[in-house]
Amino acid sequence: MAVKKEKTNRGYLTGREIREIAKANAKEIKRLEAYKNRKAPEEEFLSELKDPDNILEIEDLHTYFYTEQGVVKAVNGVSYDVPKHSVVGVVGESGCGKSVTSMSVMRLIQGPTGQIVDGSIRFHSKDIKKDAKGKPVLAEDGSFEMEEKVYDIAKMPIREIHRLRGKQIAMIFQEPMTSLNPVFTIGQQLDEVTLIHIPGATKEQAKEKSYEMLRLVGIIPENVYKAFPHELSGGMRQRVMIAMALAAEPRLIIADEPTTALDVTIQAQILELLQDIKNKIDGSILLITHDLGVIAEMADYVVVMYAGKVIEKGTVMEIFQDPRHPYTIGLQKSKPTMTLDDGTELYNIPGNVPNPTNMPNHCYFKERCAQCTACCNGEYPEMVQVSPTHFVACHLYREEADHG
Amino acid sequence: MFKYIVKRLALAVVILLGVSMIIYFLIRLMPVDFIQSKIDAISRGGATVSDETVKAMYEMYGLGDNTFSGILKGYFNWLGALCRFDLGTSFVHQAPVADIIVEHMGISFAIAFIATVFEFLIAIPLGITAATHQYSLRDYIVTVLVMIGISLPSFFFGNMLKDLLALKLGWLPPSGLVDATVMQSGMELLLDYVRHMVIPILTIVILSIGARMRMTRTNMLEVLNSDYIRTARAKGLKERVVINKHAFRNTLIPLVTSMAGLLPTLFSGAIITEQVFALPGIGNVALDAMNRGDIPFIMGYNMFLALLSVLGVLLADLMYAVVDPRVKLE
Repeated sequence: MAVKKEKTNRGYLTGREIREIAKANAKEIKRLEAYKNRKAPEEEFLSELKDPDNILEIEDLHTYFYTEQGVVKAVNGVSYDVPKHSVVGVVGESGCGKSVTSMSVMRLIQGPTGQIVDGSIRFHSKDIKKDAKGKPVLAEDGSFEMEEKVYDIAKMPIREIHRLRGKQIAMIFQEPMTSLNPVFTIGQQLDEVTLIHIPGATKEQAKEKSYEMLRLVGIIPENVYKAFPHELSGGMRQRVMIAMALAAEPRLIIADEPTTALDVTIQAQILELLQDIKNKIDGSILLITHDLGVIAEMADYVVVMYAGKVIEKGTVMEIFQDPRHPYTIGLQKSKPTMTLDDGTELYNIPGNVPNPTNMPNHCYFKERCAQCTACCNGEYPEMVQVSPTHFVACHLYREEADHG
Repeated sequence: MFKYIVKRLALAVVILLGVSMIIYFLIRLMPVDFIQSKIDAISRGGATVSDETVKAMYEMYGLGDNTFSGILKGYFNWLGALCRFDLGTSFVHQAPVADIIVEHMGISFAIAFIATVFEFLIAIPLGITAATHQYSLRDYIVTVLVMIGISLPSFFFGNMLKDLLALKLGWLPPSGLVDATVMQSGMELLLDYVRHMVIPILTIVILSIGARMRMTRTNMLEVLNSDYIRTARAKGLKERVVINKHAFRNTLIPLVTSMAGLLPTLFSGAIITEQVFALPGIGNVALDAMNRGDIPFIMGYNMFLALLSVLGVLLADLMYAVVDPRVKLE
C-alpha cells in the first residue's frame, strides 16, 4: 500500500527513487480517486454506532498525502469518539494530524494528493426525511418528518457528502481573514446556507435567519448584512463564520483553531461566544487547538495527538490532573505559569518529530522521551486503558493494565 | 466616480499628446521616403525629373525641411489640423485618412470581434475544465492542444487551413472578401462575406485560444485552492455551484482586466492573417502605408489605436471596480 522507501542516510532521493515513488503514488491515487468518485447506493455507506450515545466515532482512520518525497501518513490509525452534547478537544503540535483528521470528517482533504486510505468515520445523522425524488416528507402536523441514520463518511462517495456538510456537520476555520468569499456580501454568503439546507426556504426567510444568527454572535445585523468581507475586522469575520456554521443548526460543529489568527482580547470574546453557543445548541463541538488553556476551559474530553496518532485520551480532569503519556506530561510542564520564578527557563520537550515520510517502527516519541525503556524499541505501543475513560499509548502502563 | 472619469480623460489627452509627438518624430526618421519612391517610379517610366520639381514636391508634401525645427514645424502643422478634426490626406490613396480608416476598419473589426467572441466562449470553459480536472487526462489533452495552437505561426497555420479547407476539400473560398465572378446583392452577398471569413476567423481563434485558456486555468486553480472555496464546500454547496458561482466570480476578475488590451486589437487588424487571405482589412492597408512612407495615414492609424488603448485601460479600471468590490475608484 505505502511506498517502500529504502532506508538511506543520504538525505536526498535519487532519480530512480523519485520515479518509483511517483509511479506508486499515481497507482494509489488512481484507485482512491475512483473509489471517491464512484456511484454507490446508500446501503453501501450506512453503518452502526458502537455506542449509541456518540454522535461521531472515528475508528482507525488513515489519511495519507502522496507527495513527491514519499507518502506522508498525516493521520495514521486515529480513533476517538465524540459523545452527544459534549465538547471534545483535540490537542497536539503543528503537523500532528489534528486538522487533517477534522478535514477528513468533512471530506475536505485536497485531492488528488491527499486521500483517506482506510478506517471509518461513523456519524449519527438526523435529517429531514426525503422521498425517492429528493422531496422532503411532511409529517401530519405539517412539519418535516425527520429520520435518523448512521453514515460512514469515509466510505461515502464524494458526490453524496453535501447532505452532511453544512447541515449536519459545520466547520469554523482557522483563517477568518481569507475564509469568506471577497466578491459576495456577508448577507449573500449567510443566506446561502439556509437556502440550500431548508427545503422551500424563501429569500425573506433566509434573510430573517441570517439576521437571527448575526444577533446570536453579537453583531448588529443591519450594519453587516450588506457589507463585503473586506470591510470587517478579523474578529467580526470569525463571528460571521460562526454565524454561518450555526445557520443550519448542525449537530456537530468542528472548530479548527478558531482563535489562532486572532489577537488575545478577541480570542477571549470568541471563546466566550463558543461557550455560549455550546449551551444554546443541541449538539457537540469538536475543538481543535494547540492551546491547552482553551481546552481546559471548554472541553469535556481531551484527545492528545502526536505524529498522526492518538497517544492519550480521557476526560479533561484525567488529562490535566493525571496525565500519563510522557508527551502529555511534557506538554503540561511546558505551559507558562504565573508562579514561575524569575530566571527559571520554561521547560520544553527536547528533540523533534520524526521525518513524516519515514516513520520508525517503534514508538514515535521514543527519541524524545525521558522515561524510555528497553521495550520501547519494540512494536508501536497499543492503547492501554488506565480508567474507564482514560486511554494511553505507552509501554510504561502496559504491565499496570495487565496486572490490574 | 464622475470626477474620476473626468480626471482620467484629462490625463489621457496628455498621454496622447506625448504619444503623437513620439510617433511623428519616429516616422520622420524612418528610412523610407514617399517622394523618392514616387520619383523613382517616374524615372523608370523614361521621363526625367528636374531638381526643381523634386524640391517642389518635397515642399508640397511638407517634407522639405528634415532638421529638428523642420520636423517640429511639421508636427505642429499636423496637430493644428487635428484640432480642426482633420487627419490629413493620405499620400498613397490621395483621400482623407479618416475615410480610409473607416472604409477598411469594418472588415477587420468584424473578423476580430467574431474571433474574440469565439475565443472567449471556447477558452474559458476549456480553462475551467482543465483546472477542475487538474493532472487528469482531460487536462493534459486540453493543455497539449492549446500549446500547439500557441506555437503555430499564423502565416503557416493559415495557409495550412486554406490548403485543406479551400484547395483540397473545396468547401470554402481560399481568399478575398467576395466572389468577383458573379454579381450578388442583399442576403446572398452577406452569405458570401461569411463564407470568405470562416477560414481567417478559424485561424485567429485557434491560435489565440491557448493564451486565454491558460490564463483561465491558472486563475481558476489559484481560486480553487483558496480558503473561501473550502468554506463554500463546507457549507454543503454542490461542487457545480462551488465552481460556477463562488470560484467563477473570482476567476472573472483578472479576465475582465485582460479584456482592456483587447479594445485596440479589435480595430488594429490582423496584419499577417489579412495578408495570407488577401483581405482588404486595415492591417493590410497600414502595412502598405508603412512600407511606402504614407505619413498622414500612419499618424492617423496609430493615434486611433493609441486613443483606443487609453480608453481600454480606463474601461478596464472601471470594470475592475464593478467585478471586484474591494476596488474603489477615488
